[in-house]
Amino acid sequence: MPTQASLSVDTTGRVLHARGAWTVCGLDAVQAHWQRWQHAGNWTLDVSGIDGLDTAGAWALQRLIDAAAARQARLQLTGLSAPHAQLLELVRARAPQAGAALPRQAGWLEGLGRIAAAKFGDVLAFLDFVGQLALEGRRRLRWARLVQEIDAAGVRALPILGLLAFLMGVVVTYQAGEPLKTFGANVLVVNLVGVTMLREMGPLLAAIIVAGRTGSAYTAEIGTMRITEELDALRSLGITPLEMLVIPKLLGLLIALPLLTLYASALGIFGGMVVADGLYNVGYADFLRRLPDTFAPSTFWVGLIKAPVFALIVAAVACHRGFQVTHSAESIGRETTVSVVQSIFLVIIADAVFSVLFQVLGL
Amino acid sequence: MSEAPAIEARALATLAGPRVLHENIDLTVRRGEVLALVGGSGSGKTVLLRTLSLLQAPAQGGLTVLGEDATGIDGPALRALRRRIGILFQHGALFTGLSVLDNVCLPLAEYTGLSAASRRDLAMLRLGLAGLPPDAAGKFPGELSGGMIKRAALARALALDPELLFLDEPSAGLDPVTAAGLDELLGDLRELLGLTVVMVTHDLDSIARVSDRVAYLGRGALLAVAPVAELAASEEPEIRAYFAAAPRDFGGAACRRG
Repeated sequence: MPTQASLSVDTTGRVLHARGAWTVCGLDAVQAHWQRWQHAGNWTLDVSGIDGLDTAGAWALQRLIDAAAARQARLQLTGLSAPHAQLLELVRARAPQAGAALPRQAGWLEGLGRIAAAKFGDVLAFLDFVGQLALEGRRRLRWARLVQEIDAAGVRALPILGLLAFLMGVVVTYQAGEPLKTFGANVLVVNLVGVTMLREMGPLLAAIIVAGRTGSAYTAEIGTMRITEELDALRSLGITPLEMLVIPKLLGLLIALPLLTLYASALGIFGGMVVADGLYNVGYADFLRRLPDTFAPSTFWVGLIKAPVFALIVAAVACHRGFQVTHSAESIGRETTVSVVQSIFLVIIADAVFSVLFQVLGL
Repeated sequence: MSEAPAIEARALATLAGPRVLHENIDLTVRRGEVLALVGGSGSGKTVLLRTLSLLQAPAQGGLTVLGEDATGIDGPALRALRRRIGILFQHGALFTGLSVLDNVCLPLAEYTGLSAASRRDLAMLRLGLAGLPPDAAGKFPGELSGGMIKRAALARALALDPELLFLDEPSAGLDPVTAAGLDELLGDLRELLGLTVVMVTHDLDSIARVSDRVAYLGRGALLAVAPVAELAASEEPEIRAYFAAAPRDFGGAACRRG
C-alpha cells in the first residue's frame, strides 16, 4: 500500500503542504480538513509534494477548495503539475452539481401508510390471481409438466415425509402410552395413534412439509423466471405463465398431497405400532385387528378431505408470491419466506376451520 | 508506477469445465495500454478475461499481474491485488438489492476509511465520470435501462481508482453516442492515470478508437497480437474474415499509434 496522504498547516506562511500519495485508500488521513475547515482568509495549497494522484485525490483537493470557499476563505493552488491539473479539470467537469437531488427518505408515518397500503394491495392481488386461475381452466392441460410436478412434489418427498411421520407416530404413542399404562389401558394406544394420525397429524404434517419443500421451490422458480424475463418470453410465444407453470403445479399438488397424506398417516401408525409392540405389549397382529374398530369410517375421510384444500392453499400462495418478485435477488428470498410462512399459516387456519365445521356436523 | 508489465501470461492454459479451452497463451499487456481481446463467439474471450482478472485460476502456466505472481495467490495478498483491479461484467452484475449509489459506495466502505458523507460524494463523482445523471443514484438496478446499468457498473469498477481495468463487452447495449463517450473517458483515464485496460469487445468502432493493440483469440490460442490496422491486413483467413465482415477504415488507429 502506498504512503498515506498528509496535509500540514504552516500558519506563519499561511500555506498548506499536501504530501504523499493522494489516492483513494490514503485519503482518510486528511478528510478532517474538508469536514471541519477552520482557517479564515487567504491561504495557499502547495501540492508539489504530492507523489501520486488519482481521481479520488483530485476530488479531495477540490473538496478542500470548496470547503474553504464555504467559510469565506480562499485557497490558492500552487505546484500543480500538468497531468495533475488535467486530472483536476476532468474531476471538476464530471462532478455532479452541488446539491444534486439525493433520494428523499420517507418519514415513519409515510412508511406506515405504505406498509398498510402494500398489505391491502397484497390481498387484492391474491384475489386477482385466484380469479385469473379460475378463468385459465379452459386452456389445454400439459400432461408432461403435470407428471413432472407430481414426481417433484410427491414422489421425491416420500423419504423425508415417511421418516418424519414415522417419528411422529413413535413420539405420540410413547407420550400417550405412559399414562395409559398406569391405568392398565395399554391397548387404548391403538385408538389414540389411529385417530391422531388419520384426523390431524397425517394431513397437517404432509401439508407443512410440502409447503416448506415444494412451495418454496415454486416461489423461487417463478420469481427467478420473472427476473430473467422468461415469463415475458412465454407470453410472447402465446403461452400464459398460468397455463405453463401454475396449472400443472396446482393440479400436481392436488393429486400428490392426498396421496402423501395417506402415506404419512400410514407411516405414523406404523411408528405407533412399533412402539406399542416394543413397550406396551400390544403385538402387531393385535394392533391391526383392533385398528378398524377404534374409529368411525368418517375419521378416515375427514382427514383425507382436508388434503386437496391444503394443496390448493399451498400451490396458490406459492405461485402468487413468485409473481410478486420484483427486480432484486433479495426479493426472491423475501417472497420465498413469505410464501412458506403464509401457506403454513393459512393451512393451520384452514385446519382450525375444518375442526369447527366437523364438530358442528358431528363427524 | 513500477516498470513491470500490467499482465504477463506465460504458457497459460484455461479450462471450461473439463474441457481445455486455451493452451500456451503468451500475452504481455504493457502499462497504460488498451488491449482489445477479440475472437469469434465461443472462442473463450470471457474465460480468458476471467483468468487474467483473477476470478478463475489458470489450469497451467504462469501469470503475473501488476508485478505480483498471481499463480496460487490467496489470502491478504490476493485481496490487496484485487483492490488494484476493476472489473466491468458483461451484464453489469450490480447488486440488485442496493441502490446505484450504494453499489458504488460498497467498495469504498470496504477499503477506505472515508466518512459516509465523503464516500457518498466520491461515489457521486464516479457516477458523473461514468456519465450517469445524479438522479439515477437513488434508483435500484432493476429500474435502470441496459445502458445505464453498464454505466453504473463502470462507476463501481472505477470506485477504487484501479490500475488495471477489465471490461467485458463495455459498449454492447449502448447507443453510439454513449459508447463514444465511454471510449473518450477511457482514453482520458488512461492518459491521466496510466490506467491499463483489457477489454473484450465486438465493437470495431470502439476498437479503432481506443485500442493500442488487439489480441485475436481463435482455435484455442492467440492467433495474433497486433495493432488493429496490422491485424485487419492479416494473412490468417479467420482474422481476415472477422474484420472483413464489417469493413472499416482502420487508418486512424494506425496514425495514432505512430
